[in-house]
Amino acid sequence: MRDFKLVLKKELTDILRDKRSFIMLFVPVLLFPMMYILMGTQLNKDYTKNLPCIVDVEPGTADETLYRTLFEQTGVVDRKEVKESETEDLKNGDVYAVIRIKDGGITLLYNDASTKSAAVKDAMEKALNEIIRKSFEQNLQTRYNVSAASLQPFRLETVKLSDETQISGSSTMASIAPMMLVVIIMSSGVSVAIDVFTGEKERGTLEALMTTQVSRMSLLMAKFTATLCISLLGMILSILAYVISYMCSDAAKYMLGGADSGAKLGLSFVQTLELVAVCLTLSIFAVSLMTLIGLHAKSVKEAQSQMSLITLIPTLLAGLTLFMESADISLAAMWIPVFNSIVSIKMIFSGTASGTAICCTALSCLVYSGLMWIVSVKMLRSEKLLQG
Amino acid sequence: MISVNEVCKSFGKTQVIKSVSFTAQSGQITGFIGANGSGKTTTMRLISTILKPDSGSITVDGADVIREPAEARRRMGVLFGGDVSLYNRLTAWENILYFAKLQGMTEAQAAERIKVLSNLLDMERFLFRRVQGFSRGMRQKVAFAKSIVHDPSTILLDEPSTGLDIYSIRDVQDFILTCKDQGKTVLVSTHNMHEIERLCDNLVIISDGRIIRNGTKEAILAGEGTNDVMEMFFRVAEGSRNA
Repeated sequence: MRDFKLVLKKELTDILRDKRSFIMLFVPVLLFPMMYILMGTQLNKDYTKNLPCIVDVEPGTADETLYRTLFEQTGVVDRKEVKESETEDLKNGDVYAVIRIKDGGITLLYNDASTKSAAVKDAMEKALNEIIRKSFEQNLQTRYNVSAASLQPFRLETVKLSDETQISGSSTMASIAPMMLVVIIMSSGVSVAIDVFTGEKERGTLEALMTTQVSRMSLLMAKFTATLCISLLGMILSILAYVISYMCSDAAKYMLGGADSGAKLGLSFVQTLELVAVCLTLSIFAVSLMTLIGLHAKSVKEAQSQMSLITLIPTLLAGLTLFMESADISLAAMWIPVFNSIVSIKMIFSGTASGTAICCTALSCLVYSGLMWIVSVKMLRSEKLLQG
Repeated sequence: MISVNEVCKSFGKTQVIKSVSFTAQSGQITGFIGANGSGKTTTMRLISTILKPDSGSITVDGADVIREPAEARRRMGVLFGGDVSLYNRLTAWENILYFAKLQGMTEAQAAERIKVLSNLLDMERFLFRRVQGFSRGMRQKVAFAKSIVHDPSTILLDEPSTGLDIYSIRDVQDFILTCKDQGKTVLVSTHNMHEIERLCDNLVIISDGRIIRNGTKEAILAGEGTNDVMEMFFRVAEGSRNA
């Protein structure tokens, strides 16, 4: 125990004096709020507002009234002049739509290669449908004294059942946030693991340590704990960055919570416990994997290339979960490491987590970590460890 | 005293140490010499408990390195070739203190010993500076100090003066002689013939995993009919190749 404390203290001192550790730990704290605010600002923006279009309409006619109503509702503006030709201007991005209104008919030319042009088209379609619906209802009422509602065979009413502790499944918090959290957990200890395992081997200090009284098990445990501490610290700081951006910026709130989710950031006590269990066991799994790679790699360069997979795999698995409904995922799939953690965090955030799924996730992470530990201990005891 | 008896070691199918036996006496400096790849470092690693012999036995001051590795490690200080790699973000003091504590010393014992070593190795001016940016000579002195901070009775040095400037070589060699005067067993593996001439009392010459000469420096030189250590080495090596 004395040796464990001694090595752990030395490792933490060494790590905290390393500039790379600070970069790995504190960059997300600064970067994430900025990213959420910028993305939220972009998403929250009225895309069609002030986008220039060319309008061809006969002044003083009913068509001009329609044009004014449409423009008020969509926010697009008439640029009033043509540079080359209407279609060339549209292709060049000088305008985002060409709108021709004649005898109540509307022709809309747009460039589907342009997001803004497509947004103008969507906004125009939506506004026009609304105008048509209102006009139709008005005509029915005035000409035939019949309400449009009485002619409708069915009526659709949607009721939102999620409470304030649940977050819209389509919101960023329920889709991208679990991925980012998992990537951070999987990557924040990487540079430390490379340094404390492969770095020591490469520098020759591991060989020197092996000639002292310290047991190899104490060495392994202390180095593992040091890496785990940094990994957990990285995770806590990232969650903190997440909370700060959610609380301080409406744009970030929009980005994280979704437009009309009405979600509150607070998790219930049980949800918090579930989140802690999933994140902690995932951290243990990640650090066990890093330990294994760190011990196996012959050089820092080799370790770096192998460790890059640790951040790539969760990103790919997270991408896979974007198109999956958490409830549809079988219990057997919850034994796939990393994937199960992403799904579990998604479930926790959306308030749909089941005890069985969380237990399965936590247990599988611990089982895999245990297996990796057995291999790591064997490697540390092997003579091959110090052979270049 | 280091006693190596009939030690063999293979890596896979390649036998790198072939029935090696020799003794390094207390209060004497034994030079362990041989060409690159002859088995010097493997033998040093076997003595230092990093590797386990396939057969044979090794004792360090009576402690068997296989049966009592912890006890053997307590009795020896090891400095491997090129072991000037320290923890760069720690100071020289912190580096030595870390190894002292790992060898079971208390903070007070370690502090006292570091002061002595710092004085002997002329390290006072950089003792509390972070190791990053140290010259090779400064690093070697710190590495040396960390290896022997627990005051072992046996010292294993693998090429201790490689890459050092002339002043650092003198400091290190003087320190090795001080260790000899204190009655310690010193086993030095080196390519530096001047170092052998100045320091060694006994020589163990290894070639292709076998000991080809073992005895006092004077006896081996006389046996080869020369006073020059380098010439003696070439003659012994040549003779072994032809045999």
